[in-house]
Amino acid sequence: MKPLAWILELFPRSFAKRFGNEWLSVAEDVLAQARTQGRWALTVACVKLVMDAARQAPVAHARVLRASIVGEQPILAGVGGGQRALLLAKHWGVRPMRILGRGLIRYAWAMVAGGLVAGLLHAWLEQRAWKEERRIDPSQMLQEGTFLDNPQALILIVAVPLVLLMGVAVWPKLMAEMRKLTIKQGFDSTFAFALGFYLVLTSILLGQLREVSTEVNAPFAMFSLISQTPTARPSSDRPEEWTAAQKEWFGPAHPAKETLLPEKHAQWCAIRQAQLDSWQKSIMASHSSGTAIALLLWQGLRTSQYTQGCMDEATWVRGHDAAAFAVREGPGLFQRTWEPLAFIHPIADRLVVAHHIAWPQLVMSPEKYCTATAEVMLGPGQLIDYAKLVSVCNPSDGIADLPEKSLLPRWSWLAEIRHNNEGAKPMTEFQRKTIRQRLENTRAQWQVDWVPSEP
Amino acid sequence: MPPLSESGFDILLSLVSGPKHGYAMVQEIERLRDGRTMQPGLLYTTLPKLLEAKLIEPAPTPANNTDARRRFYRLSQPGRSAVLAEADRRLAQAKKVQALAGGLA
Repeated sequence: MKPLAWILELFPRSFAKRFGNEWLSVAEDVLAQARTQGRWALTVACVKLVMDAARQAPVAHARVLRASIVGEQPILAGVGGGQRALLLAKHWGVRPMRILGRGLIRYAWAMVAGGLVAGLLHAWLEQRAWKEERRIDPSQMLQEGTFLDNPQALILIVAVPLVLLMGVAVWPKLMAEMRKLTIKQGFDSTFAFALGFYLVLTSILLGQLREVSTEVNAPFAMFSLISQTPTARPSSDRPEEWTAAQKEWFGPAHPAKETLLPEKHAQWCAIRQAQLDSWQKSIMASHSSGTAIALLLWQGLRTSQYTQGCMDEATWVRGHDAAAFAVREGPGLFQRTWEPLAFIHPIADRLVVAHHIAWPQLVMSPEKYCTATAEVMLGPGQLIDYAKLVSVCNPSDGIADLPEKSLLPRWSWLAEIRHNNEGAKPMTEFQRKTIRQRLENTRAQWQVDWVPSEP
Repeated sequence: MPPLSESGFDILLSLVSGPKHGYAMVQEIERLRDGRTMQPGLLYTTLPKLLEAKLIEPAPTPANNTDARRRFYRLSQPGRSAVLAEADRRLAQAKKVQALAGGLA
């Protein structure tokens, strides 16, 4: 049955080789059984079969990929086909590179033109998705630049992959060594080489290696800082060793570990909140990666659970949702695909950040950060503290202190600062009132960039 | 032994009554689950894990097999132990839940 064979194409080749016939046999039996129960049952069975394949094929691919990375045999137990599967898994990443290399040698112009068209198409699609999702005024687009105005993006989209491809063609010996290493280590060295080469070249081409490195690493420095949530603890378990100041704050009669005196609780929470606010402010002021900020926000909130009752669970959950919202609602298909990975591993975040540098227009808008931050600040039943909101959402004091050359090589960075700080008009009383009302009514759908006009 | 996944446990259970091919397993699972079926994709992404863990093993194809594409599988000895261990674990869990539910009543 041909359609079933097409569905089977969704699965990795090694899987199809080993279990394809069996899968086909079962699928045919399932459909034959459904056919005896009528047309409706057959339709339902078909849909279920497709849904099942769509769900399970990525699982099978992940399994083969994992096997290729750790060098294990994906299917064992001497059922046959194992050695072949192993071979396929090991060459999972090598073969496409080899094919591309050969193609480049044989059809160089076609490959160059294809790469160029693909790069431009990708950039155009990203740009269009971003425009549509932001739904912003076209005049603002001019201010922020298009991909054609952005040589960094063009270099990364078109030139770097081409150079990589040429590298594959020009250095066959190197590639052969890579393949040997791959087989020896069970790790795809070609892919690692290409990735490393891409990242290094990115930095060099941008001519801002130090700045890039600072920008990429800074969120992680802040990450460790915010992970160490301030907690009120005496320096020793023995009250007789406490200083006079500690005796004011802690009581030995208090239940174990929770030694903070109840009357000091509110004061401590205020101190702690001020510390977190200051961290948030500095994050807002100095980082451009939406992921990094959302990650910090999330981590900060996560650790806030253990703040000796300073933040209740409902607030924390709201904050967590807000941070997830900030990531999820980031513009662009590319960003949506990669951003969640940053939650999994710092390397993924670095990759995301690298792309943010290349595509400044894809960086999440400060308004989104403000949305997340404001949502965090909005405890249940609380009204907005506008002073605090402005202090977090308007990062002028942090950015003003930075020397211009230490800023990111972002095409629209300075324009954005101007737009956010100097260009932003203060809210009118009407706008404040309307936003407050709207927030109270539909908090979950709140958008900071929504500003009501005067009646 | 770590707890088995739902699909892994179902597959092992379906093989308790003897060696089976894929579709026979699907039918047995449907019977065990009171009509809820297991789709072939899930079946064949779970099977390799069970094979790797040596909980099941290939069985010889019977002479009366009508479809040459079918392969038969059977429970291995560790597989039998795993089924029993998992059943015990689930039973213990059910008892705990019952005790808790008794506290609610």
